[in-house]
Amino acid sequence: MKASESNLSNIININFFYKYGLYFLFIFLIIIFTILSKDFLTFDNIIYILLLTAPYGITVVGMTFVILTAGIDLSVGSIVFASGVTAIICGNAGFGVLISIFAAIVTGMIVGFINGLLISKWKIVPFLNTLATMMLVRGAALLYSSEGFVVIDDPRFMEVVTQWKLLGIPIIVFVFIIIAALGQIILRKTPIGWHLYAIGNNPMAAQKIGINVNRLTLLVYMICGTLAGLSGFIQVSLVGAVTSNFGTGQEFTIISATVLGGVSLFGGKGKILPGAVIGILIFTIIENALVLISANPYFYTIIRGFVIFLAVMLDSITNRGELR
Amino acid sequence: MGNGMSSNEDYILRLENINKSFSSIKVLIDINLKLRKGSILGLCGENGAGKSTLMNVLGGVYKRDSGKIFLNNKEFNPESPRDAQKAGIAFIHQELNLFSNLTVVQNFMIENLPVKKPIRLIDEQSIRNSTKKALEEFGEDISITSLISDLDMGHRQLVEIAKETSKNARIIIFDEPTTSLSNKEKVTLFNIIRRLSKKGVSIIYISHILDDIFELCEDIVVLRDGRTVGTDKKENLSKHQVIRMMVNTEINDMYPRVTKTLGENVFSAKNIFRKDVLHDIALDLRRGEIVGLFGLMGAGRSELVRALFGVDKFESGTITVNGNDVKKISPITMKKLGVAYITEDRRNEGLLIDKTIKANIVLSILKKLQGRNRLIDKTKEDSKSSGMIKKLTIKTYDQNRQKAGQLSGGNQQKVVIAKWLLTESKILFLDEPTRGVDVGAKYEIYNYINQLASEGSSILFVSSEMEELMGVCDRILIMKKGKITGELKQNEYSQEKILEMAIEW
Repeated sequence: MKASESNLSNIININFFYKYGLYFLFIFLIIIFTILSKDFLTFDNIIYILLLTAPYGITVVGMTFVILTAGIDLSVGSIVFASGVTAIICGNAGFGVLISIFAAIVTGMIVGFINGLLISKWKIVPFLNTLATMMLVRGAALLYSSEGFVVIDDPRFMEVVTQWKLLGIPIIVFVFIIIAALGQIILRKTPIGWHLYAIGNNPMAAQKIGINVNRLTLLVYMICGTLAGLSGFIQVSLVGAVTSNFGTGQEFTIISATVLGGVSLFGGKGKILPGAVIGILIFTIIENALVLISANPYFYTIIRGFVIFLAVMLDSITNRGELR
Repeated sequence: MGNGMSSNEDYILRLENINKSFSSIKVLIDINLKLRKGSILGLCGENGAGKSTLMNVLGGVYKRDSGKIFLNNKEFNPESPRDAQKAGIAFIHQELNLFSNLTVVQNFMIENLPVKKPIRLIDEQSIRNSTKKALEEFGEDISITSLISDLDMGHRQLVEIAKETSKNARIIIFDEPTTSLSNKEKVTLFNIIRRLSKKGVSIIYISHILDDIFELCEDIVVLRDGRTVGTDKKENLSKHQVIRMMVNTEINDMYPRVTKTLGENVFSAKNIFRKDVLHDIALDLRRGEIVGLFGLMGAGRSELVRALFGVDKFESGTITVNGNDVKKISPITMKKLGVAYITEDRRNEGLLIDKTIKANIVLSILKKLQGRNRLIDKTKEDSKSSGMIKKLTIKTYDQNRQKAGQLSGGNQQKVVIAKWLLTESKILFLDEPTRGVDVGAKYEIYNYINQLASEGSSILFVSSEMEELMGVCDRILIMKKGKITGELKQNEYSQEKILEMAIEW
């Protein structure tokens, strides 16, 4: 009896499941939703899903950099809010679309810089550090936006997302794909990327062999902040206005999508493409499909909770306590 | 100086009157060391003698307070590890600087990755070529695309050595390199070191295993308490002299014996089976007995002990403690039954590195320290901990402030032992209790083991050093491929017999 048990555990190999389970889940969901709704697997809906994914996906790319170093950034939701507010205020002051995009990105970069500086130089634990900036940034943005409600005056803002198109596909989708691809190339093909994996695996050893751990730590938080800033602009132009709870809780979607995509919270493992991108696609697909089949919206929260649980559990089982 | 005839020209490296203190504690005092070009120099000393600090000064990790370093007769002032690396000084540490999530190729030039113009992507092809070339020189068959986490310790070390030598290192410093190697891997390592030295690379070899030093090195430098206490050619020294220099006291009999009587069986395991790991293991311990367990790397020694203590599950087999079958075999029940397990992996499993010495020592008896209000009684805690520190002569400046990780290897091991001694366990499993521990502390550990046995404790002593098993144990069990392949009584001990049963033919 004992022998048959161990055979069974060989068949359902947890490592195998962890490696490829994500893709099975992805394909499984697509099949299920295609069966449930005839509108799901259509060109228009696919483009729509990609458009919905783009702003989150861009932040996921940044989050992957952070989590690879065994860090975390809880402030991305607040960055989205602050940079959204900044973009609208700039736009309404008549600076035009491009400068507003730039302002949103710079806002994110500044917060990322502060996070990175505190974490790398002062060795503040990333979780607590970004928890603090999460509150500080939202609070500051609420202050200068007169309680967080601002509406875009300039209609050209809305066009950025919906009207700027290439081959019938919104430019935003290409921006997302290019950022993801660039991110993956940086990780896989440049010294910075390899060094990030090294830091995530063993920061002490990385320091010892002369990798500039502090500088790279600063860099990843800046990348994450910058991309969250860009994401903030895109989200604002999708909606047209900012309310006081804009971006609230988004960090959890971003982090869990990243982890679901196989980026280990323990650091040093994971990819942007396909991994983390599939992770965030799964989240938007579920959301999109539940709307299509007019499911109870509370259902979405339950499913999301379940997916997060699954992702973190698999990460713990596979990567916990391994010798480095 | 034994070779007073040589001029400074013959030396690639000279350290003169190096001093270093941490806060008020002098760690290095007027250290002198000369390394001849292309030679192998053995650096011995107990843990805490200053070997690592000295090498860290040379490697640019610490800044010296005073003294001079000459590299090729030019003054050398390393500000960072990178300076030392650029000057051609390479370190092979006990803890390897490899990243287990990356492949051999990715690790090979990680600190200085070559890039291709114009967009500065990594030139993987050139890394692959040099990795292949470097590894081929060592004649070992390692797939360069395998993850480091998939390699065993011997191969990992080989990768690290190949990596360091490929950077045109002129001086390579090996810090306790054989600790995690099997005998066969050690032979390979020594051949590699000799070959490097023939090619003109100068070697500093740090070890507490004197046999290795005497087998490999041409010159020997001995440190004690931060001072150079001996420098000479190997031919002019005996092991006995070196030991005396290291500890400054005469250890006539490294393995003290005590008279004792063995009692009844207190622990027995029968038919322990774990697929692919342990096969049909039977083992008995009598009251007051010290049983040695020997096996080469991969023989399953640690796996067996882990199974016996309930850390790893096994598929079938029974364990009896004091005549009673153990129903649910887990570390918790074993501990309740008076079994203690001192693990091989001190840093990760045996100690809370970041906690104070006191916190570590009392960890196993927190329940016993509860006062009337159920909170931990501070006075009891202090007295228990201080008692142990005194008994085991643990060297610490403050048990409440010094962290376990800041102690030397020998003292760390003593803290682990102290922790288990407090539980008053009567059955002890010791897995490599003297690994990475210097001669003096080893001797003390043997003494505790003997004392415990004479007081009626039973000890299972796992080790990869035959000599210490033969010196301490009442009988020795030999393992090979997860099986116990032989047993030797005290009057039958010989290294040949043990190896014969342990080696896979």
